[in-house]
Amino acid sequence: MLRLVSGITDEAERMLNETTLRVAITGLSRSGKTVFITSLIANLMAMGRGRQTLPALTAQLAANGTALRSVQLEPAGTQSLDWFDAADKLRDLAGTTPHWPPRTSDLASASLTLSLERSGPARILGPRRVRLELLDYPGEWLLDLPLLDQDFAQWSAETIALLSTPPRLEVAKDFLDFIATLDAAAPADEAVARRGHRLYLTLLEQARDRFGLRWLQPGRFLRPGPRGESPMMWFFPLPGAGSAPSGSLRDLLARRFAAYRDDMRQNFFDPWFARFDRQVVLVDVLGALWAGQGAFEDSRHAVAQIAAAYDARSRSRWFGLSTLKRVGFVASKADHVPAAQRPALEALFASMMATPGEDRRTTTHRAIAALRCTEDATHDGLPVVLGVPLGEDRRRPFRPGHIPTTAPPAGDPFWARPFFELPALRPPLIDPDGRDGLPNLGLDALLSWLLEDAL
Amino acid sequence: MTPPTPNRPAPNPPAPNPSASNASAPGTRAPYPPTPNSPAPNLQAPSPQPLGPQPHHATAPGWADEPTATPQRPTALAEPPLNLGPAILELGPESPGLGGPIQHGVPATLDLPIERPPSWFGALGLMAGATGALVLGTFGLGLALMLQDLFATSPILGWLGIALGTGAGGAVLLALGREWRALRRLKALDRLALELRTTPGGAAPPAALRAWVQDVARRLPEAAPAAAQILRATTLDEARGLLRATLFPVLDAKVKALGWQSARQVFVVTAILPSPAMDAAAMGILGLRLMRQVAVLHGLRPGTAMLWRLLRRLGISAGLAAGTDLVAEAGFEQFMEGHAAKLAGGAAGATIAARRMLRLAGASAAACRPEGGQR
Repeated sequence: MLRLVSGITDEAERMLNETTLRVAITGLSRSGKTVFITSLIANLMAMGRGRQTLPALTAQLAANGTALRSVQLEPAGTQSLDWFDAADKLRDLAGTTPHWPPRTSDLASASLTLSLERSGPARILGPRRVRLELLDYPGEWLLDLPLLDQDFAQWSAETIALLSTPPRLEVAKDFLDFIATLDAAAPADEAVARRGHRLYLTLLEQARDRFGLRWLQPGRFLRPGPRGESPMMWFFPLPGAGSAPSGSLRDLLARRFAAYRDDMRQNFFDPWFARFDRQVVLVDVLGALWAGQGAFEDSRHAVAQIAAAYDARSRSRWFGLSTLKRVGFVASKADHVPAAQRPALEALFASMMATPGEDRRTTTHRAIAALRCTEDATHDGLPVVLGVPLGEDRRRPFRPGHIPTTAPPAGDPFWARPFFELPALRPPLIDPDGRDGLPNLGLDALLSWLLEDAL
Repeated sequence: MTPPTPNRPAPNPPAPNPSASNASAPGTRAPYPPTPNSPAPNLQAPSPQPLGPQPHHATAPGWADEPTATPQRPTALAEPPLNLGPAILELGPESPGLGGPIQHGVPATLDLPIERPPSWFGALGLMAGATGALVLGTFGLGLALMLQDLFATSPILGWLGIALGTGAGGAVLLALGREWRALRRLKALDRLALELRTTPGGAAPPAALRAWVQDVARRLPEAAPAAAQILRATTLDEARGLLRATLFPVLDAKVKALGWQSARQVFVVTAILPSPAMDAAAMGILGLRLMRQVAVLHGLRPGTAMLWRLLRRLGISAGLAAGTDLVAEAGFEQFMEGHAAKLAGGAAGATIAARRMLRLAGASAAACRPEGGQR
């Protein structure tokens, strides 16, 4: 009896005092999702311990007539997912040989509980709690989100059309030659399927490493995850109209494509990407800008596709209403650009992400650095940032050069520059226990905007 | 590099003054953001280029002895030329001392929100202080007058009076000293609570926590094994977990035993006493005694002022913070009272009173723990 009363009381208390927000931290590979989540957790935890790590968020709370009492990282519980170990990531960043966390290879989640003061007579209800559920995952896998609405024929046609355009054409020649020799009704053969898969995989890797391209489907080809490669992944795009004859190679590839797509849907998207309340889309704009026009357009296309797919998945089945209330588009690694040029970077990013139609969601475009590794200075009369390249021990000035405020058009001499890889800079000196949070640029303003109506 | 094209937008067009493109006038603007690291000798602070027309004192018309106009406030930095690409540069030989990793400043400290007692508690305290001062002052003045009269009567009586006054004054000082020590211990517990709140979970447990645990183990021998485990913890998270898993259950058992003991006494007293006013007085005395016992169990020293502060805390935590809990408890009690009244007649009130003593024991324990109370 008492247990029942207690259970009902707990549930009522939760309904009254607790708000849960599922925050999707979205981004292509190497866009900084893991460091973003680590910084978000470390800074909120430090703020809960009385450190002014996120001034804009503190101001927002004060404007709402509340204050942060404490921040708790929820215990792992019984979840089957990996637990996002922010403390471990912090040790990576703050160790004696600091380094960036390794590429994410599997899903991991973390939940934070912000305990907020109530004001006035409502104090009798006790503090209010805002739970933030965060999910980290390999960015490559996200590229399979648009695949969910496609069949093999559609995907093959789109992919081969894309491969036939520069800069992919340069690395896709072997693969295109290979499929050109295949008969449309060729019988299914395992060796041929494996060979085609290997050639396709090689071209994806080269497109990623040589040109910095990101729109590389299927995503698990490049990052298979803890389960490794399985036979359902041994397929490649093969053109052909109409339904594939039974027993043909195209039929085999189509069945594998369907199995792969359904597996991603069942094990990745449906359980973990069903409903989000807030979304942060991280884009490595600088990396794409300096990799050339192909990479820039590729990133733009990939992010637009993913954002659209997210929006579609967040809509209610019956009324088409979106649960996704706020979407923050974020140009990451903004600490590679001096303060004087950050407005240009934000303007460039906003023009890059601009959608032709009216966006019904509340969106913002910001340039931030979840972990700030540089200091501003001038060198030879020009603004630069000072940072220590990873593996070195002395600061060096980094000059980002001219940053246009809108994407230069095709054929602009801007794109004639050689491929330049965004330099990996050593993380700054930070307390390994996260006592002072992580120095950042603009994370507080982004969080303040993202959570404004929930605080 | 390639020349700029007309279709390239230029957000900050170059200033008319050509020398401004190499803006390097030192000291015009602090580096952004200010950091504890000193800037490099050859790396000047970002220096803005003037956008407006520049004064030409040599050629412009005007009085020769006119004071020099204040230079226009700079508003923009030199923009890199359009054809300049990204590059990692080398520092010049004139900045040999620059190096080492980047280190940003330490963030400021925020005031953590704490539960404050309602203002009428403060008013009561002020009234109590004023009354105390009045009483002590009256006694002191009365004593002085009495000593004067005694000396006037006989020096022997006077000296006896002084001895009496010194003894009484010493006793008051002793009592005040004890109160002060008890309050100091309570403050140390508050400091420990704050330290636990501000220390990251991955850091080493604070020394004050170790001291508190040792103190509790000294007073409660059955808590010694738990204390030994906590003292071996390497991180605060571990120590917190061990506190909850090992030490607090031992303390809880003891607190529960004390609570039951007081509950039994309250049950008997309220069932026997004929007047509700006497019930309330008995409950108050037994309640204060219970709080004192629980406080001592948690390493605090007994003292009236300390008990008063604990009471204030209970007033906040039981009266404000646990609102929903109270609603549920009240409902449950109402239910119990209805049924118990049918069964036991007049003993129902005594049952509820006893139950309240158990709750008081629990609330007092929470207020005396560095991890549990609402501070």
